[in-house]
Amino acid sequence: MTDMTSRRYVIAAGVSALLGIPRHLRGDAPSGHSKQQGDLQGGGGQDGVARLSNPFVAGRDRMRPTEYDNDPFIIAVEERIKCNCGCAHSLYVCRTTDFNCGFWQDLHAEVISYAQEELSAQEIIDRYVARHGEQYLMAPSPEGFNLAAYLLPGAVITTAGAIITWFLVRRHRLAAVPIGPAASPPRGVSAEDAARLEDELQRLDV
Amino acid sequence: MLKKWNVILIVVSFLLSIFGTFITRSGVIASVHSFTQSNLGYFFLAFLVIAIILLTWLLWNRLPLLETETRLESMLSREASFLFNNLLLVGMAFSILWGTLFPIISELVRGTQITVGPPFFNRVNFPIGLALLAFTGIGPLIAWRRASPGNLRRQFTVPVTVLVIVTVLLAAIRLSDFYSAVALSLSAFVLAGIAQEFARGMGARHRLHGEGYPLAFARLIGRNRRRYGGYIVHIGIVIYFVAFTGMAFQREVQTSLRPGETETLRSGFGHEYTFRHLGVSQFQALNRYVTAASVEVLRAGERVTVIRSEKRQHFTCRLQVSPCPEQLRERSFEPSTEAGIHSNLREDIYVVFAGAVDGTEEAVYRFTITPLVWWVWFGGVVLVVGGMVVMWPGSGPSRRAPNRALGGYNVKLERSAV
Repeated sequence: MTDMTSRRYVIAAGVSALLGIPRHLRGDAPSGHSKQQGDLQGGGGQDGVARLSNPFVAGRDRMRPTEYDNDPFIIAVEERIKCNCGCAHSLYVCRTTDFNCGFWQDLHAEVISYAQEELSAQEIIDRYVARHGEQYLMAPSPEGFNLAAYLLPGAVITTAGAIITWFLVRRHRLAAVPIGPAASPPRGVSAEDAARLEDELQRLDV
Repeated sequence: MLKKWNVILIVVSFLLSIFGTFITRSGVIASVHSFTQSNLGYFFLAFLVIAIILLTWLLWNRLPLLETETRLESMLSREASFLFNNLLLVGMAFSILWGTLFPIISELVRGTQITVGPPFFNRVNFPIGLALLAFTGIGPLIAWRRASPGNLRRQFTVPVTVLVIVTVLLAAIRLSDFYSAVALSLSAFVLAGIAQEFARGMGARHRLHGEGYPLAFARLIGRNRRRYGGYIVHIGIVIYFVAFTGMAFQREVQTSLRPGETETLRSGFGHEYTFRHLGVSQFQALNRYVTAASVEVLRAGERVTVIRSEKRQHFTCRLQVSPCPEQLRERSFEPSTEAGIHSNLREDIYVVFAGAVDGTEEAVYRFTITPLVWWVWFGGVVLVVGGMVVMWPGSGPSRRAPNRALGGYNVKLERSAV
C-alpha cells in the first residue's frame, strides 16, 4: 500500500497534479481493499444477532452444524463416498469446502439416517453402493477384478526387483569364478587386507 | 553407469507427461480440465504418436553411444541401491498411471464405471514412498562397487541405532498413526546417516589438513559438491516426509458461532486454541462485494491473532465505466470463499467462513489446525539449495572419481605398522 506521508508520494502527487493526471490513473489510491463501507450497512437483528444488510452476496444460507457433522464415524464413512456434484471430491471434503454445491446435503442426510439405524461403516457403504452405484465410492472395493488395481503395482515392483536381484546375483557368481591367472587376487592380499583397502578408499573420498 | 536407463527414463517421463495431458484434455478420463467440446485431444494424440516413433527411433540409433564402461558388480553396492531406488520411483509412477487408467480398463472389462480417488493412491503409494525413504538412507551408506561386511557394519551401526531409539520413543509416546511412526523413524535413520557422513568427512579434513570444523564443513561441500549437495537434497526429502506426517494429526471442527461466542480445538501438538467470533462485515472492494467474518484466535488464553475469512461475490460491469453504477452490475458465478490462514513453524490455522445462518451475523465456520505445513515449503527450499550445490559450475567429478569408477584402483599395499 502507498505510504501517503512519504516524500516520494508527495512529489509524485505534486507532479501528477501539475501535469493534470487523473487520480485513478496515478496508482496512488490504496490498492486491493478499497473499502467503501457504509453502503452495505447492517439492518435490524433477531434473537440478538444482527442481520446482514445484503445476505444475497454472502453465499448460500447455511444450516447450523449438528453433532453428526463432526462425528468421526460419519466423517470416516463420508471420506469413502464420492459427492455427485461433479467436483470429484469425497462427500466430506465436498460438504466442508464446496459451499456452492447443492447436492451434498441430501447425501449427507442419507449417511446420517443410515448411522441412526446403527449400521456399521461397511453396511452403510454397501447400502449406499446398492442405491447409487459403485462409481460413487472414492476407491473401488478390493474384491474381484478391482483387486488388480491394488495388487498390480506391488506385483510389478516385486517382480522387477526379483529379476534385478537374480540378475545381479548371477553376475556376481559368474564374476567370482576364477578364469585364469589374471583373475587371481594379487599375491599377499588377504581378504582382511582387501576389506581394509575398501574402507580406506571410502574414507579417502572426502 | 545406467546411461541407457537414465535416457529411457527421460524419454518415458516426457511421453507420460504428454499422455497425461492427452487423457485429461481429450476427456478420455473425467476431468474438469477437459476440452471435450474441441478437437484438441486429437492433436495431442497425433503429437504423442509422433513423439513415440521419433524418440524410439532416436533411442535405438543412439543406443551404442550409451554403452556403459562399468558394470554393476554386486547387490551390496551403492549402484545397486540406486537401481532399486529408481525401481521404486518407476513403480510409483506406474501405480499412478495404473490408477488413473483403471476406471477406463474397468469399464472395458466389466462394463462398470468406478472412481479411483485419493484413498486408492494413498493406500498404494504410502508403502512405496516409505520404501523410497528407506533407500534414501541406505544408498549413501553402501560402498561403491561392492560393500564388505566390515564396511556395512561401520556405516550402519549409528543410523540403525538411531532408528531403533526413535522407534522405541515413538512407541513409548503411543504415536497412534502407523505410517507416521514409520516415516518418522526412517527419517531419523536417514538423517543419522547423513550426519555421520558429514561428521566423518569433516573429521578427516580436520585430521589431514588441520582445518577448523566450520572450514572443513565448507570445503567438504565445495570439494565434492555432487556428493554433499546430494546429501542436502536428501535432507530436503526428509523434511518433506516429516512435514507430511503432520497431516495425520490434523484437527478440524465445523461450528456456528454468534458474535462473541467461542469454539475450542486442540491441535496435534496438544495446544488448546480458542476461536472467538468477532462479527461479520460487508463492503465493496474493486469488482466484488465482500462478506468478511473475523475470529480472534487465542492459545491458552493468550491472544495469537485475528483471522478473517471472506465470501467474495464478483461482479462485472455491462459498460466500460469506472466506478460501475449499481444498476449496470452483473454478478458472476457463485461467491468464492477466501480462507483465512495463520501460519507458524508448528502448525497452520485455517479459518473458513462457510456462510451465514439465515442471513444474520451468526456464521458457520470450519476451523482446521494442520501441523508442520510450513516445513513442506522449507523442505522444498532445502531441496533447491541442495540441487544448486550439485549443479553449480565446476562441480564435475574429480580426477580421482572417474579413475576409481572406470578403471578400478591402482594402489600399492604396504604392511601396516600395527
